[in-house]
Amino acid sequence: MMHNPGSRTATFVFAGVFLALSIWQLAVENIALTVDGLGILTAAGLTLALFSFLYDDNPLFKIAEHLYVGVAAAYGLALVWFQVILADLVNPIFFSTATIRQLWVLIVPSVLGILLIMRIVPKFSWLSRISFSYVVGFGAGISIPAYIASQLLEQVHPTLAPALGWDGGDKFILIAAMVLIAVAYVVSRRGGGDLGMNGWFGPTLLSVVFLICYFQGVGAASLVLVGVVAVLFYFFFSVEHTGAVGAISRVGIWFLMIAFGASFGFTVMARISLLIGRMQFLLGDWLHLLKS
Amino acid sequence: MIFLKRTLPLVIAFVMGIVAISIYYIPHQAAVDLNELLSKWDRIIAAFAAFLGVYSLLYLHAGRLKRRQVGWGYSVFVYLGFVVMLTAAIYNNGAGPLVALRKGGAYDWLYTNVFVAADASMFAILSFFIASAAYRTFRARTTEATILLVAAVIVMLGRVPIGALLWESMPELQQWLMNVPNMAAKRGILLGVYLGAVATALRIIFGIERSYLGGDE
Repeated sequence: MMHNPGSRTATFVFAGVFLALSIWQLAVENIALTVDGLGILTAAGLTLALFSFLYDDNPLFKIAEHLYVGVAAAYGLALVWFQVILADLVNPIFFSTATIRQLWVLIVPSVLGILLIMRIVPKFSWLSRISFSYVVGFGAGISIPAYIASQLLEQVHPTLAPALGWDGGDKFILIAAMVLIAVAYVVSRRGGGDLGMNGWFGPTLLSVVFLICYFQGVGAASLVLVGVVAVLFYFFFSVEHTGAVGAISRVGIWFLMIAFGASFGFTVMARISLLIGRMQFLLGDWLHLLKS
Repeated sequence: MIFLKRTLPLVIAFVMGIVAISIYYIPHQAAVDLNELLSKWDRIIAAFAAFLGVYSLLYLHAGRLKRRQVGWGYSVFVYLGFVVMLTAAIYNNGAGPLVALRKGGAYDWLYTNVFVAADASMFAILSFFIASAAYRTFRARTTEATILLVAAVIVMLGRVPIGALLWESMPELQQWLMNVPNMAAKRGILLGVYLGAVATALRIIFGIERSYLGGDE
């Protein structure tokens, strides 16, 4: 299994480090051979085995990875059993005083569930289509009004309302953005370029608008409206992105870049937070190097 | 047979889709009750699907073991983790599988020391890969890449103490960046995404989209 020297090194180094430090912790009685103590050792071993991948792919990592997959599958199955099958199906049918009339409604999902399981029998796998069609059809139907109400209308209203003054909001940036786009247009026409949005002028303009908004504490709602409209322009491919449409869609790209950058930064920090948690566990609970 | 295999599923999807849309707009207690009942059925059927998913996973690894495929030894650990965790869940701290899940015992121990530890570690190592990918792609070669880089740096610095140490307004600036320009772009994207989702849902209900029936449809 160990195809390269890096894999062999990672396996022996990480296994050696784990064993040596665990024995040391047991020897100095920082960790006792109790259920809790064994739990700490198991978690530390798994953590180190998974971190060993940072050096190279190796058997320790793969063992921990496969063990995790198995445990996660059983964990998910147990949750489904206790929270859905047992609570909604087994208990009402076998351990309740409900009448047959009250129970008939549970027959339908039970039959559909069994038909779904028939997927694993090649000869009768077509029966699972009936269950899938229920789940997919109901899911599609329930999602249409839900998406329209909560994701479309509920997003459009707060985007438009404050900026257009419906809720007594400001119109400062909406007007400012229009003026600035007009300025950009005039400047670019004079230069004969592409509305001045591909060079330094556009981003500088956007930065100035953002900084004014941030420091003055104004125009957030209007800026959201400008951003949403610009992004929608960018995704509107039915017209050629030239001239004014091109200028607005370029502003949309900048907004998208900010969003992607912000999402990236947010994701990195979330992962770093998990890493800090694991390091705290290793240095604190396992090695007792951190003072509480 | 064609009716049972193809027409009946399409009819069920159409009827359930129309019923689900209708009950949303009917302001009557009967519609609310029907919605609750159908949602409960949906939840139960989805639970059976979880069994199907686990079967699929175990079947895949059983095949690897049977064929002695490269790396088949690791599949043993999938079964080991699965069987141990499932046994702990069935034992349920001495109460058995027919009562609600009990606190403590082997199931909790495995959850805390194996599942949570491995889960957090698995996602924690992603931070290194993201940083590595960022190093390769975040070169400020174009205007767009520069904007992306600056936004990412502000958000990252604004969420750690060193950011406030460098500039006391950094945390507020990153929050503003998340709440205003980031939200504007996300909203623009999501408007398109949900319009597409509604269109796809309509295609499913009217039988134009049939991929859920299987590969041969």
